Amino acid sequence: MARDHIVLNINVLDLGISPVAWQLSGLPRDATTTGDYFARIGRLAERGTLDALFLADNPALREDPLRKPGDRALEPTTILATVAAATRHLGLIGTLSTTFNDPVELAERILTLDHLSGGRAAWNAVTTYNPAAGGNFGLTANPDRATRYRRAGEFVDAVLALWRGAATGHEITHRGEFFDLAGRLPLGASPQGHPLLVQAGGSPQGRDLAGRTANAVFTAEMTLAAGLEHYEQVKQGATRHGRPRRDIAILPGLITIIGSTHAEARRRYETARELQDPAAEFTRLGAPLGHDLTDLPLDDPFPRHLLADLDDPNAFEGSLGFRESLVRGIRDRIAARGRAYTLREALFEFGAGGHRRIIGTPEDVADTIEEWFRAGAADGFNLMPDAFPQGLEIFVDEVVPILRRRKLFRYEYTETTLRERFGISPVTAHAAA
Amino acid sequence: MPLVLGLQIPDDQLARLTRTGFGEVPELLDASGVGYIVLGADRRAAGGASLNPALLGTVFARRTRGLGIVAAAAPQRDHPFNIARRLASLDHLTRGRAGWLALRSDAHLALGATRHGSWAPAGGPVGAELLADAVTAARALWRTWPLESLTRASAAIDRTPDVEVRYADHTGAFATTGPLNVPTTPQGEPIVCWEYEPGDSGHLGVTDIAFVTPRDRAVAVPADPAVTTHVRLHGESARLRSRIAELADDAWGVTGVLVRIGLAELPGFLDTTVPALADAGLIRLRAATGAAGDAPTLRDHLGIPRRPDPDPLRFRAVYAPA
Repeated sequence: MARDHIVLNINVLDLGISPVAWQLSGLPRDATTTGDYFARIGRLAERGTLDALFLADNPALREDPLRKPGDRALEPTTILATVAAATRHLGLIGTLSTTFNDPVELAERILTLDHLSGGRAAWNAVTTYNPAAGGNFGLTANPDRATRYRRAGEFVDAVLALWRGAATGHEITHRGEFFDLAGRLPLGASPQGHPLLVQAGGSPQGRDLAGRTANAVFTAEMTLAAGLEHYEQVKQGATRHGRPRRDIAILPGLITIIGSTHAEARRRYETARELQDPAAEFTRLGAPLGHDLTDLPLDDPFPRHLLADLDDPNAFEGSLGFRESLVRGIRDRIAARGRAYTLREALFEFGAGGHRRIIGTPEDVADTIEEWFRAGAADGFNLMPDAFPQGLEIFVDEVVPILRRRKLFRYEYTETTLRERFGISPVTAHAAA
Repeated sequence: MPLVLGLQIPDDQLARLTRTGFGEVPELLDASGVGYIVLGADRRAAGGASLNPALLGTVFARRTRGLGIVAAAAPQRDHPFNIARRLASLDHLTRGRAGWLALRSDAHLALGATRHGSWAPAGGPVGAELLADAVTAARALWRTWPLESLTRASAAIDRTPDVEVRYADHTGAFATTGPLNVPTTPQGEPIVCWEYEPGDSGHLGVTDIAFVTPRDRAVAVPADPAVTTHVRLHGESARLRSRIAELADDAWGVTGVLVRIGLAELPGFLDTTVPALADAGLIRLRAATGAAGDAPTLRDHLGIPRRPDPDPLRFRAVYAPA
């Protein structure tokens, strides 16, 4: 346990992670096109003294809005600037692609957010594998994994150099495979020196990048055993790169479906399941495995060949991290249950969106959070309620007080910047690095 | 004809106000009835500090109800897909009060960038021609996802052609298939502005407003009726009022003025000069916003209709049922 307090970020997947979040929310279909929606979520998160608001992103439309309203409709840094203006303490973490941005433009934009928010900004650096995105940027195909990660590594180095240059007032020069740049940004040090860096991705390349550069990692862990193993892997990666263990917080995703009683939580989940298109679970389980599951018999044993080690991980087009976490989760269930474990059961347990899921009471949620934190599998969580605003309201009103009573979470904000809140070394210590 | 009034405060002066939350600047501008503020125009030439215009605009959006917010962005280090996405988002966050000041380059982000920038092919067009392609790409993207898909109650059931999401299929220096993952906005799409430079005339047809200097006015006013002209003036100039009177009178087709004013002079300008110009019938202020927050859009205030082209119904549908 590296920290006294759990880190809790709210991952605002627009109206929620449930495929029927819009129906559950009771909000208008165009709610996510308004600033007021995100400002309200930000203020709610701040009422619960949560650490930060996290935004995932993809530079492409993901689903037909006529079938599934309530998905992302605004660009993430504009949402975060909106939340910055509506809140005083909440951290602001935005996902932006290294594949489809430019390091100078991105560094300047996130540094601006850091200035506008008084030192609360962080960038979640990802690569984009979604095939729908390439065409938006004039590509016929996305770069392969190896190229994407080489670019990501160089991109992150360039951004960090630009931020350090801004903090110290020095011009920087970068000459690399992808980028040549020289000069400095039109801004000085932010109240936290410069923004934090977050990483999300469980591929070997992603974990290495995290160990070298990230202040926080958003991970997908289905089981405590896997969580413990990867926690150590990333912490040791940081140590290998000469960084203190505390400078990187490990934050698995946690999907929550909360009710006052077990039965109520279960009903909430079943209601959503009845409403949703049955294909949604097939897609959510099949896509990360790289297989179309729709025609497979539901009550046969889960097909083992879908869980086999990949011949060439670099050729796999999806997310290696999500795949590994799912394969391991399903293998564990098969080992525990024997051949009787069916596709139907796998869809129910793992068809929710690639992260650990809790269907239960506020007490259950608090227990899981505490168990993982004390065991050393997590420094905190990236929370993914089934639907907003209720899923966040019940967390803030009922889970947070339990965590406070157990001395695991703050009663009030005491630090002004996100860097101080996460307990990350000040910038000056790294400025010369 | 009374002219629309836009203001531009030096970027570095605004940046210096960041820690104090910009004082009351957004609220003062909003209450004054000034048509719009331009953020980031100084990025044409490297200068002092500067905040990212779209994000600064977003903060202003939360603190204003009627003021138009025009944010500069250049396609030099940013693909038009990203610019279109950010500016359309700003347009939603302002409820239809956003504009894009299309710059060919951003001196603050140059840091050794080539003339064609990070995204366009080397050996392709540069300068005004490249910027015009970026605007054309953005405009196509802005029309790919109809807001009515989310606001019309029957949209999902009826699936009439006008609610279908479509590809932009823009082919040019900045090729982009789309669709944009931001729906059309309360004013249809952001207003596009362009800083005129000599030699631009052949490319101005893509823009809604051309900003020109008094010296360039005679040659710069475009023949294209879809493009209006706003003349840049200095707020501290002793001749400001006579200049505006001259422009309001003349038959050159000028519809607005963009006045650059320092923060120190801003309160006096808003308290005294602006009401005097309005009383004299030389400028046209925004109507006061009602309590319901139903302010007119920037497009309404400017009197610039949404262009008929490109017609999205000619684009390929993305999800239309077979």
